Amino acid sequence: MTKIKKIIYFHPVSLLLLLLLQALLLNGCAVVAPVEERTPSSPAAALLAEAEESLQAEDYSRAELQVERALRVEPRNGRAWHLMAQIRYGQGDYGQTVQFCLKSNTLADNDRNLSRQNWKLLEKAYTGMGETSKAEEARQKAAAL
Amino acid sequence: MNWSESKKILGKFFTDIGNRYKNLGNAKGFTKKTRSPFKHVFFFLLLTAIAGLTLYVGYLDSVIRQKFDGKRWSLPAVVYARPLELFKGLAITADLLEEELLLAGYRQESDVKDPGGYDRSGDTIRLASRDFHFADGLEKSMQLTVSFAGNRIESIRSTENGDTLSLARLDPARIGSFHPRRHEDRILITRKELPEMLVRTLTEVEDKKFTSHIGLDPLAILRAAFVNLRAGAAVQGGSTLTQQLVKNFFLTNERTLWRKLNEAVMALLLEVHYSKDDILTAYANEIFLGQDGGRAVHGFALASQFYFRRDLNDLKADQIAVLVGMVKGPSYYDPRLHPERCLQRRGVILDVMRQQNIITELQYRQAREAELLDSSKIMSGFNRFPAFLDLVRRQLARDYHEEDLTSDGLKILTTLDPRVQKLVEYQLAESIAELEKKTGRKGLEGAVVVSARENGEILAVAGGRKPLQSGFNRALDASRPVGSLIKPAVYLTALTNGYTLASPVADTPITLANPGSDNWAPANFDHKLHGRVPLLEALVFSYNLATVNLGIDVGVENVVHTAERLGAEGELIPYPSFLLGAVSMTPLEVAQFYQTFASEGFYVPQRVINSVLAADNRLLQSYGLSVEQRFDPQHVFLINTALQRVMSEGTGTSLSRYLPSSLQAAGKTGTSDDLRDSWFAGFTGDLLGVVWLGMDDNQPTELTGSSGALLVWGKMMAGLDAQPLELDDPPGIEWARVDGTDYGTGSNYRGRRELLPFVEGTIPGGAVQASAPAQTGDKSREPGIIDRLRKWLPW
Repeated sequence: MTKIKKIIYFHPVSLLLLLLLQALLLNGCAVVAPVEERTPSSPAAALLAEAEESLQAEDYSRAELQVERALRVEPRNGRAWHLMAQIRYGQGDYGQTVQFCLKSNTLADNDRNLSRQNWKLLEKAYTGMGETSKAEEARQKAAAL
Repeated sequence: MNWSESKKILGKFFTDIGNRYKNLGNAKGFTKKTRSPFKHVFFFLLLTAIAGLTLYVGYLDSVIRQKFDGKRWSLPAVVYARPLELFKGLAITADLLEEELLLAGYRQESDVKDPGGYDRSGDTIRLASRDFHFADGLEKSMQLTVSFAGNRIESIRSTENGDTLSLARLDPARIGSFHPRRHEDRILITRKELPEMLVRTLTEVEDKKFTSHIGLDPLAILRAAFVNLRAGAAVQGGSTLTQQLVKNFFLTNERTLWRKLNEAVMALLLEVHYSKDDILTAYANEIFLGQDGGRAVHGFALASQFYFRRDLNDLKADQIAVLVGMVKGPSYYDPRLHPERCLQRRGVILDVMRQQNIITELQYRQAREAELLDSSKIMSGFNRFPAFLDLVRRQLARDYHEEDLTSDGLKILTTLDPRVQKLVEYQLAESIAELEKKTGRKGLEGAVVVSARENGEILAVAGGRKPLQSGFNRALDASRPVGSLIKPAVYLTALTNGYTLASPVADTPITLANPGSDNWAPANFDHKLHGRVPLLEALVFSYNLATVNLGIDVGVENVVHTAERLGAEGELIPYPSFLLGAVSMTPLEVAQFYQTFASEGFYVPQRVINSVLAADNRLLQSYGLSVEQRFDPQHVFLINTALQRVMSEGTGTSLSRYLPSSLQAAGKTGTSDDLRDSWFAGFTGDLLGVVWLGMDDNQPTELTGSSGALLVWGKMMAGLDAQPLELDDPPGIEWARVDGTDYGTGSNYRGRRELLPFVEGTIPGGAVQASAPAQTGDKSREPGIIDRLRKWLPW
C-alpha cells in the first residue's frame, strides 16, 4: 500500500488529483484546498516539497533536516512548522507533535486549511497519548473550521 | 630475484625478528655452548652483538608498523559556521557577501572557474562554491551569478546555463578547531587526490630515484657528501623521501650519526613493509609547510588552502612549484614573509619542471609570470571567534570526550553567523569606547548574545570588548543582577491571574520584611510616586513601586515560577527583592529567558550546534529543534505589546536615534543597584539580542540600561538590518478604547484615550470595544478577493 501511495504521490498530476480527492472525501461536499504553499516561488518551497517526499518515504531524519533548513530561510512559515509536527508524529513523538502543531497554529494566520490540518494531527497525537478528552476537543475544532 | 620478491622475504624476516622482540624470554635460545674459553668469549660477544642488533632492528620495526598500521594522525575536530543560504530578497549587500566569501576562504580571481573562486563587478558577484557534506548530504559545487539591488539580492542564476535559482547553499566557513596538545593541523588526502604534477615535481626535486630505490639512495648520499666536503659545510642533502618521512614521523631533528643510522634502518624497514604509494601519501600528509600563529600547517592539502585558498587539485604549476620549493625550508621560503627568496626558489623548481617535461614551454612562461600569491585579500576566520567556540566546546563536552574532539576529525556544524558575529564584536568595542569617553570611567566591559527569534539558534556571542582575547567569557560566565529585566515575569504572572493591561496598579510606597536583613523599602528610579497607574504604564516606564505592589499581590513564589517557566535557571529564591531583579544571570541565561517572549510563549532551547559529522561525513548526531508552549499566546501577546511600547514611549525611547520606529522592536532595559550593571534585552522580527555592560571588579559604571546597553543594542540592530516586528493578534484577543479617567494625576495615561488589546471577555467596564489598529506591514492587509478565492482553489 505504501509503495503504491508513494508512486502516486511522486507524479505531480496524481498528487494533485489525490489531494483533491482526499480533501473531498474528508470534507463531504465542501471543496477544500490542500496544504499547498501559498507563494510557490518562496525560497523555502522547494525544500518543503523535498521534505514532504522524505516524509512520505519515512526518512524522518532527512525530512527533519530539510524542514529545519526551510525554517532558517522562512522562520515564520506555518506550513514548515506543521511538517515538523508530521515528522515527530512519524517518529512516534506525540508530545512534540502536539507542540509543533500548536506552534504552527500560532502562525497559521488566516490559513484555515492549515489550522484544520493542525487540529486533525492534534487529535491523532492526543489519541496516541491516551488523552481522549483533548483528542475530542481537537476533533471538534477541526470540524468547526 | 627482483625487488618485490626480496621485499617479501625480507619482510618475513623482520617480522619474525619483530615478533621475537615481543617475546624477549625466547632470546635465551640464541646462546650456545663452546669449549675454548677465548672462542667462548668471542662467540659470546659476537652473538650478543648480533642478538642485540637484531632485537634493536626488531624494535624499530615494531615501532614503524605500530604507527603506520594504526591511526597515523590525530585530527582535530573542525568547527564550521552556518552555511549562507542565498535567495532572492535576502537582506545582504555585495560588500557583505564578498566579506563572507573571503572569510570562508574564497579567492578573488578574474576568471571564476574552479571551486572557491569569486569575482565582483559592481553589483554582481560571480562565484564557484565548493563541494560540502552537510548533515543532509553532499551539496555539490555550483557556479553562481548573484545580482544585488538596494541592499538585497535581486537574482541568483546559474552561471553555466542562466537558470534562475530560488535557493543556493554555500559551503560554510571553517571557524576553528579543537587541537590536541601538539598543535598540528592538516587536511588528510589519499593517493588518488595527489595531483600527478605535484608528485612528479616533488620526486624530481627531492628524490629522483624514489620509485626504484629501497629507501636509501647510496649514490645520492655519496654525491651529497662530495658536494658538502668541497663546500666545507652541509649544503646538500642526500635523503630520500622515505628517509625524510621517517625523520618527521619518528625521530627528532638532531643531527647525530646515531639518528642518521636509525633513519636509514627505519627507511629500509618502511620500504620493506609498505608500498611506494603508501609512503608517498604519508609523506604528502605529514610534511611541515609553515606556521599559522599557534597552528602548524602540515601536508600539501592544508598548505594549498592556507597559502592559495585552493584545493590541491586546483593548483597551477607555479603554485605547485612554490609548495615543492618550500619543502627545503618552510620558514625560510615562506611566500608571505620572504616573497623574494620564495620567488627565486620557485624559479629553480620551475626550471626543473620544464627540463623534465612536467610542464610545457608555454606553461613555464606563464608560471614564471604568475603572481606569487594570487589572492591579495585574505581574511582568515580561523579561531577568530573564541567566545563562540568556547560555547561550542562546552556544549560538546556534554556528549564527547576530550580525546574524540582532538583526534577523530569530527566536523562540527554550528549556528554561528559570521556577519552577525563580526558586527556584534565591532559595535560592542566601538560603543564601549564611546561610553567610556562620555562617562570618563575606564575599564568598562561588555558581553552580547544574539539568537534567531524563532528557532533559538545562537548566531553570535561576544565575551568582551576584545574579541580575540580568549580569557574571561562574560557572555557565559559573568553572572550579574538583572534588575528590571526580570519585570516582564511579574507582569506576565499578573496577566495570567486576571489582570489586564488597563488594570489599575498602585505606584505607592511599600515596606517589606526582607529575611536576614533590615526592612526593605524600594523606591522608584526617579524617586517620584505615580499613584494609580495602568499596569501597562508600570511596565513601560519600569516603575519599581507598582511592580513590587503587583508582585506581592500575585505572590512572589508565583513570579519565581513564571521566571522558571520562561527559562531562568539556577536557584531562584522568592524574596520580595526578586521582583526588582535581585537575581543574578549571565547574558546567555537572559537570552534564553527572553527567547520565550520572542517566540510568543514557546520555550525553545537555544542551540549552538546543529550537527556533528564523522571524518567520513557520516551523521553522528543532530541537535534537533524542539519547542514547548509554556504560556497562552494571548498573555504573551499583551506583554510583547507592552514591550513594544517600552521602545516607543517608555525607557527605551532613546533607541529612536539609531533605529526607525517602523522596526517596532520590543525590549526591556535593566539597571542594577548603584548603576553597576547596564542591561538591555529585546527582539525584532528576526533577531533576539541581549547586551550587558559593567566592570569586571563590579564597580559602578554610571550607566543605566537605557544610557548604556541600549545604545549597543540599537547600533547593533541597525547594522544588522533587523526585520520589523509585526505582532499578529492571536485568536482570542479583542481591542478596546480605555479613556483613562480612572488613573491618578501622576499617571501618563490619565485622560488619554488608548487603544489596548485584551484577552477575550476581559474588557473592563467603561471601555469601548474597537477594531484592531492597522499595522504598517503588508501582512495586516486584509486579503483581497483573489487571495481569498485562491485559498479555496487546489492550485
